[in-house]
Amino acid sequence: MKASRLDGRVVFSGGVALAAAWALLQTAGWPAKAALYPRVVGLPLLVLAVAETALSLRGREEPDAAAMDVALSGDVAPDVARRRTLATTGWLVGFYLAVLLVGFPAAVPAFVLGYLRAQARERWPVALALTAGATAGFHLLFVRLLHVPFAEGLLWRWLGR
Amino acid sequence: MLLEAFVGALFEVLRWDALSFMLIGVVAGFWVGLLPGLGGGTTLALMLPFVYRMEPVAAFAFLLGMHSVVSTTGDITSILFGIPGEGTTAATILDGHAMAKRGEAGRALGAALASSLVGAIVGAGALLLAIPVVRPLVLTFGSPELFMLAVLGIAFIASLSGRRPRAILRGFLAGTLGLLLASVGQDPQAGHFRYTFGSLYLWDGLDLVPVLVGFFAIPEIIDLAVRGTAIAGEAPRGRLGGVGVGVRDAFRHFWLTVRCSLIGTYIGVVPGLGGGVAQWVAYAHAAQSVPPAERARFGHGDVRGVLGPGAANNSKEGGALVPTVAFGVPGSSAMAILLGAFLLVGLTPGPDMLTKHLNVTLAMVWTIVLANVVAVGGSLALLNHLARLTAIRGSLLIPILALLTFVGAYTANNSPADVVAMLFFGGLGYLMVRYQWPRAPLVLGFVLGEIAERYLWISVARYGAAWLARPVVLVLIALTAAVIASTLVQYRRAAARERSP
Repeated sequence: MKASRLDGRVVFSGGVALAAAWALLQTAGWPAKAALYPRVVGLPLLVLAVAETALSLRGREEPDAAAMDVALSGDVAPDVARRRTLATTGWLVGFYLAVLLVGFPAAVPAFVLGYLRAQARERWPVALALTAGATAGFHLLFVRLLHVPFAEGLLWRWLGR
Repeated sequence: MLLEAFVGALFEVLRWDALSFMLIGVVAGFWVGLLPGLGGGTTLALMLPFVYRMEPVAAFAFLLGMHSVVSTTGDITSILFGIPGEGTTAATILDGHAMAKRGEAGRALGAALASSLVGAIVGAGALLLAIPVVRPLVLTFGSPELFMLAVLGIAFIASLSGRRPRAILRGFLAGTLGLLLASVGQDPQAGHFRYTFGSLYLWDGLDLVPVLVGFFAIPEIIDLAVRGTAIAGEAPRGRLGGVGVGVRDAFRHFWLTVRCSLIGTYIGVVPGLGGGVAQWVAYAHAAQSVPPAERARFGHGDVRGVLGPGAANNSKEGGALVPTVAFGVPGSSAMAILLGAFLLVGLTPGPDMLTKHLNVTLAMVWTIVLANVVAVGGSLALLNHLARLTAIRGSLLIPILALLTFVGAYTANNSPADVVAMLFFGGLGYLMVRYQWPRAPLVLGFVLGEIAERYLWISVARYGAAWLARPVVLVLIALTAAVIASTLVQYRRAAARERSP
């Protein structure tokens, strides 16, 4: 018999089970009309998530159990993959923070240039040309043509601009 | 009489003013489809004021010309970059992008474009033929049947989520998670706020655009960064090959393409379901219709997984026009906007559209066909340029894809919270791919959740528990059980065959 194991798979399915339990508990004080649907779908979700967690805990993974979905690349060393995943996640979160602080118009060139130079280690001419192109495309399409109302950055508001 | 009117309508669409407006619409729709997040419905709403002074035929040539091609070019973005160009083209990613990754972008694009054209023609044909007979068809389905149809749709795709019972368990898990996520926001019956965490943004529930964009784009961006290569990896470069093979695939699997087109058309006809559902049901049907041993290829670059959704997301436009034109009941949000155009040009949907204004209805049929012929022709001419993008180093593409993903999500409600939702679902999508949970059932559950809840509540309020005993409901329950059972039996048989020497 295989030993129980606590890995990412267990944590993920366990997290979904906890979220389902929380969602069901929340319905306790709700009017019947509002609670009917979340209960109808929340209960099977909880049962299925607990079953998946239990199977993952027992370390049972069927061969060929892969989902009918795309698969992540498996030909990169795990530590390299982990490092690159964390770096990319950091850049995406950083882009969001930049959008929040200085707004899209300033965050776009800063993110594109920053990523190309600091992460991708591109040469200055390539990085500058691509940044200029991305910024021009962004302004022409989304600002000039479609008039998307981009929110002002919090930093400009704090500075009283 | 009808044939004469049909030919007359063609000449009306080919008149210089209508044709010019249609071409302008096609060019606009072409780019809207390519850009992630920027939806056909939103653009339709933005273009509505321009039709005030137009003749009805020219107005619909412009609007429908634009709207009917966004799914066609949306498939291109989905295949090349793994980011849904449109909400209705997400299913094309699963196999289309997998094909692009192994250097078969041309074949996938050829298949998507050819099936899109077949789908558009079938949908337009359905609009032509179905108007007189569709009313009883739509009216056979009440709320209980529509709720069960939603359950059947999820059972369909969840049971096809993988080769083993464990994968099917995860399929149902993902589907019910999607259904629960759809309940976020103010509930439509009692007005109670559910799972909103006191956030104003969540009062209206989660928007489909940031959810879909994040769900599919973020895992792809991260994987591209991890691989450190171009999208097409080390696949051979040069002119895009295989487009002709892809086009031929659509005709090699012609009946699959036609069946998926009909699925899209019928789902388009049923009000409230729409293209978000049609593509997944067609994908599930494509997977269901192959032998179990071949089913493992789905999700890893099987061209039939491109043909099904490619056909359905275009054919649903013709289907959605049927209730809009004939009864004034819009089949989707885009059709609701189009309904506004009827009123702007002085037309009333209903019986008049089949008698007094039959020429306008028939001109719509021609517009859908001609606009897609132009869009597919234009796409084929530009494919080599577009597909070269998959050979660009990933490190150069990542910031541009991130930019399009962020702006695409933001344009849903012009709120930074859209970006947060996109990132959250990006993380969820990444974890699901990492731990081999299928994403398709979650998306379908999320899309169907709102209508499933509405129909469930109406069924319970109107019939109590007796709704479960309605004949069509019983048939649909049996069908749901049969779908699950037959999938398990097929897997058992396949496993037994694999074990036997």
